[in-house]
Amino acid sequence: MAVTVATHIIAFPKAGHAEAEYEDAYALATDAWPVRAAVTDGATESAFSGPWARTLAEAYVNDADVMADQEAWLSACRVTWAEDTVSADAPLPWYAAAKAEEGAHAAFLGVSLQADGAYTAHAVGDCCLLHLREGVLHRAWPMDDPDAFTHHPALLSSRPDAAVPDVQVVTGEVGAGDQLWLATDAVAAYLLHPHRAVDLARMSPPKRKATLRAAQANGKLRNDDSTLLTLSFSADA
Amino acid sequence: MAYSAEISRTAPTAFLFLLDQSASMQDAFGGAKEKGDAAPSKARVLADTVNKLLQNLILRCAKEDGVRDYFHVGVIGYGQRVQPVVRPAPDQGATDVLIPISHLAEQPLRMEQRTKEVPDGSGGVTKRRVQTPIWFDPQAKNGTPMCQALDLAAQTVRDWIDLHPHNYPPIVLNVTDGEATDGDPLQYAQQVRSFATDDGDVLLFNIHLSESEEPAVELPDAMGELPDDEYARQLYQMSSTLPFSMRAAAEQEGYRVTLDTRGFVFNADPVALVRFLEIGTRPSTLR
Repeated sequence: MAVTVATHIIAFPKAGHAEAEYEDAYALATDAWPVRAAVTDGATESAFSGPWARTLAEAYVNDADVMADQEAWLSACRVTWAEDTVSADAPLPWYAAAKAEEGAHAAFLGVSLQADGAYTAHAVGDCCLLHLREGVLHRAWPMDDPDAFTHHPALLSSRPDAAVPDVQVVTGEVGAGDQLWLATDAVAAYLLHPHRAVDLARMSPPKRKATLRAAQANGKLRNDDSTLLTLSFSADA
Repeated sequence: MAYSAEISRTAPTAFLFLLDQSASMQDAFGGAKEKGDAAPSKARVLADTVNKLLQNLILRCAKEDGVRDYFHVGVIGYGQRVQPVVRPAPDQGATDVLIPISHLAEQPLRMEQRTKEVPDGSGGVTKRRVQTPIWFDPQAKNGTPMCQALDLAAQTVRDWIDLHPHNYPPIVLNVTDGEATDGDPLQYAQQVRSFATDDGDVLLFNIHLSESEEPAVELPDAMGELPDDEYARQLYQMSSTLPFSMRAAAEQEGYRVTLDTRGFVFNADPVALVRFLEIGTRPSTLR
């Protein structure tokens, strides 16, 4: 059965931070099959991690075949990142130069979806894919335990000499009425507690955002950059 | 729970280093002379170590758009004088001890070119010149006015807490190679530790630099672990127990820790000095 896709994005920074300091990223390509979506989480401890997160996400959605050669994808992203950040005309102050040399780091999740509803997801680190079917959580991947999130997930590094971590892959299928949620770690950990994903699925998008904001304010959602990209499927008209 | 306040730009914490600059700091670490090593002086090793630590603290706060003021940092030297040894920020007075870390980043005494080994991308290493900031140089003169240094630390943390009563409390790290020559430091240490924010008492940690080849006693949790030395017992009593985040950092470094583990190292060699300064500057998560 062919499906059509509606998308919605909720994205906000850590409490006490400006919008410009948000270091997650998301990207979407919905104008042709396969539809592609990605969320990434730039590591707070690195500098220039917002641009790195954006580069990874955009490169994933801009080329349907990108994961056929993961090393090439990562190498190209590293070149883009270096050009965007380090080779700026003005010399960097000593601390920014040192941070640039350490490289930026990000967790990654991408989903590629065919017209028949078959999808493939790729992940490095603790961004999570949640598959909702008939209003309940059908699958959570690659993590399904809210207590398993640590401060040391696997990350993709912008350093040219850094090893390429294993990209995890999973396949599945969506049908009409299903939703795929792509969440960065704090939102994922919040949603994996019992009932929360189901409760949130019943809400309108504005109400969802208000609920997540309130959860961040009251500490139920860890104070971190927060991103939830939602793909909702209906039968092709 | 104490020592759990989130550290942010709106709620920074403070690190205050007290560095012994007495004449005996001209000597090499314990054991080096006996071995005939051309070892650098304790003052040199301490200045290099703390300059490097300041650099690392700045890098923990550095983002592409600047250095975020998660920390206020001060360094007090005690020897010929008792005084701050890093320059205050432009809008601060000459006697202000704690400096926002962004100002520290912008105002090293000088930048030195050093050679650093970095990966060459094909499994080997290559040497690269890097700019290294220096904030202060080694000094070693006169006696050990530790009581005066602790008294200045007490005034400093009291004033800071007046302005930041809800924040993660200040951490004071005292590094010395000898006994105080100006009184009983225990009562001054107790004064430092008597100040508190809503999040906990001021933390005071002590690192004693080695005078002999005896092995270091690192992070003891009972007086019985110490050598039979009144001075060691005094420094132990002066030291705070480690809060949760630092116990976790110590465990990661391979130390056995308990709830009673004190932030104290007796007879530290340079490696133990670096290791403890890393642990003692790991408060809760930055946001």
